[in-house]
Amino acid sequence: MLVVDGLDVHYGDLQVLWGISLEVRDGEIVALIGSNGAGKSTLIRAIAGLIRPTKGTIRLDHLLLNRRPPHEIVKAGISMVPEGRRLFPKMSVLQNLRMGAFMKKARHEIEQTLGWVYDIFPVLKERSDQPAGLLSGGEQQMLAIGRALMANNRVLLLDEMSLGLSPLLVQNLFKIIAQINETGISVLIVEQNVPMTLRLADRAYIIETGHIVGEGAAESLLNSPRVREAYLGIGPECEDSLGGV
Amino acid sequence: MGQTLVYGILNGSLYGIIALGIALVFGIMKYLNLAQGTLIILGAYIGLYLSQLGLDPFLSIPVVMVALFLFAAVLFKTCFSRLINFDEEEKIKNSLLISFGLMLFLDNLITVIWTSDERSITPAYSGITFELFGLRIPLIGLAGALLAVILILLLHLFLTRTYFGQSVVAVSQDQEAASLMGVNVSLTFLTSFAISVSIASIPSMLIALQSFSPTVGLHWFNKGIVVVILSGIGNIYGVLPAGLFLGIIEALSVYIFGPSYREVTGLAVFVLILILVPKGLFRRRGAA
Ligand SMILES: Nc1ncnc2c1ncn2[C@@H]1O[C@H](COP(=O)(O)OP(=O)(O)OP(=O)(O)O)[C@@H](O)[C@H]1O
Ligand SMILES: [Mg+2]
Repeated sequence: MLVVDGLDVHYGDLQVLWGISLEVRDGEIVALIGSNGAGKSTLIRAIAGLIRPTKGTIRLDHLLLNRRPPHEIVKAGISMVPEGRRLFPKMSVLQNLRMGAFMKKARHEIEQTLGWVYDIFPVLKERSDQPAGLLSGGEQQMLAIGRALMANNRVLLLDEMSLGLSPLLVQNLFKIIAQINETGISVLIVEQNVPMTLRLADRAYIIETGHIVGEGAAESLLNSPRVREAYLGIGPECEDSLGGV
Repeated sequence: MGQTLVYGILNGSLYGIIALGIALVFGIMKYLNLAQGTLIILGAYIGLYLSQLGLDPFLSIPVVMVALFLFAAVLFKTCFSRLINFDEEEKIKNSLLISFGLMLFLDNLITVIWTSDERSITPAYSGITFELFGLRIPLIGLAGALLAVILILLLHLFLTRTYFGQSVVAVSQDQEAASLMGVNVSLTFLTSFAISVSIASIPSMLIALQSFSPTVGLHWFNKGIVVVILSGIGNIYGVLPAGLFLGIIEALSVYIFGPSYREVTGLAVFVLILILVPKGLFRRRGAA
């Protein structure tokens, strides 16, 4: 179980996260909902070790993770798909995937994991020798997710994976995330598409200007008037426009 | 004319390996190490010391290599490690300042230890040349060129065939993403810096076999940086051809205009190329 407790984060003198507490239980999909600039990426980056929190703790089971550098956090069991994909553009698809399994424990299982990732994203197998920088946006995102899966970790952090992708592809990716979660991987997901994300998730937290202002079962948030107004831009009378995922 | 080309090629391969150390540090870490030339000269003095103990200059290369590796690791820890998480522009500016200071300091330290006299190492075989197709080829120059080629091949194998090498390539393309893969970026920086400086042991020895004094480091750095820019910044496979190019241009200029125009012609061609092909002569597209 991933537990964040009382986390403060500053950029220089500017405080952007205030006493954030949340948890992701084993096997759960947890969504983080909030408008632009609320601090979602900052929180995900702090968990991954890319930013050092000024206060509070991050634990995976009993292991204290705050103050550790990113490479130790991956080793502890948390992988991240960063905002903007961040592939190694001049490396081939296969080399990118191999980098995902850079840790010693992942290296031992690399062929198996690679088979699994290719099953999930067959297009990566077809493109395995192409430089990552020449893939289409959708393929790049698949590679970013596949690369994170190569670490064979228990927790996956996803920051805006569907940014700039076609609705059809986004739907596919959501299905794939559900499928990945079925294998027992916990997911903390940040997405712009609030209704879709709340349908995928078990629970969700709402973050506004650096504070957690709400939390609950995803389903009940989806139906709460407050969330509907703030994030879905609709009143209670427009039920149908939410559509199906 | 043929003989001119021979000297151009041999000199050029020396420029190429000098540039390699600078290009590696810049390509991987985005640090500009102005002190690389001075570190080469430091290596030459260590080689001189070893030769006074009776060690052959070529056999002392591995010893100098290890010495420079360790010294560079300490330098990195003390002077450069704080810049690791700066953004690219800040890295370039700050590393430039730090390495400039370091260069001045080391130049003076070397003068204090070894005096400012001009030195050279002259083993029994230093004047030996042999004939090939009617051209005289100096033994030492040829050995240096071979070492340069071997070194680049080894480096290529290391970067493409080993996990650690791949992590270095990953860091050079996206440092933060590499850290998310489990790469220890500080350790990769430290090791890459130390390896890049230890490569200086080869130019150290080649220069030691010509002649050197404490303050010529900057002169050699200048040759190196010109080659790095000619080859296309950050491209380590272009440095050898770009080095050869500069070497040959200089040699031709000596042949045509006489020795006093050698530097001027080299730099003039350099500026001309910057204007015509600003991205460098040997920039590769696609794979690293
Ligand atoms: N490197 C930085 N330096 C200073 N301030 C930053 C930095 N990165 C983000 N911020 C600020 O921190 C706040 C939170 O940013 P963050 O990127 O976490 O938001 P977000 O919720 O991910 O937004 P979005 O939905 O646009 O991705 C914003 O006000 C932003 O301006
Ligand atoms: Mg964000």
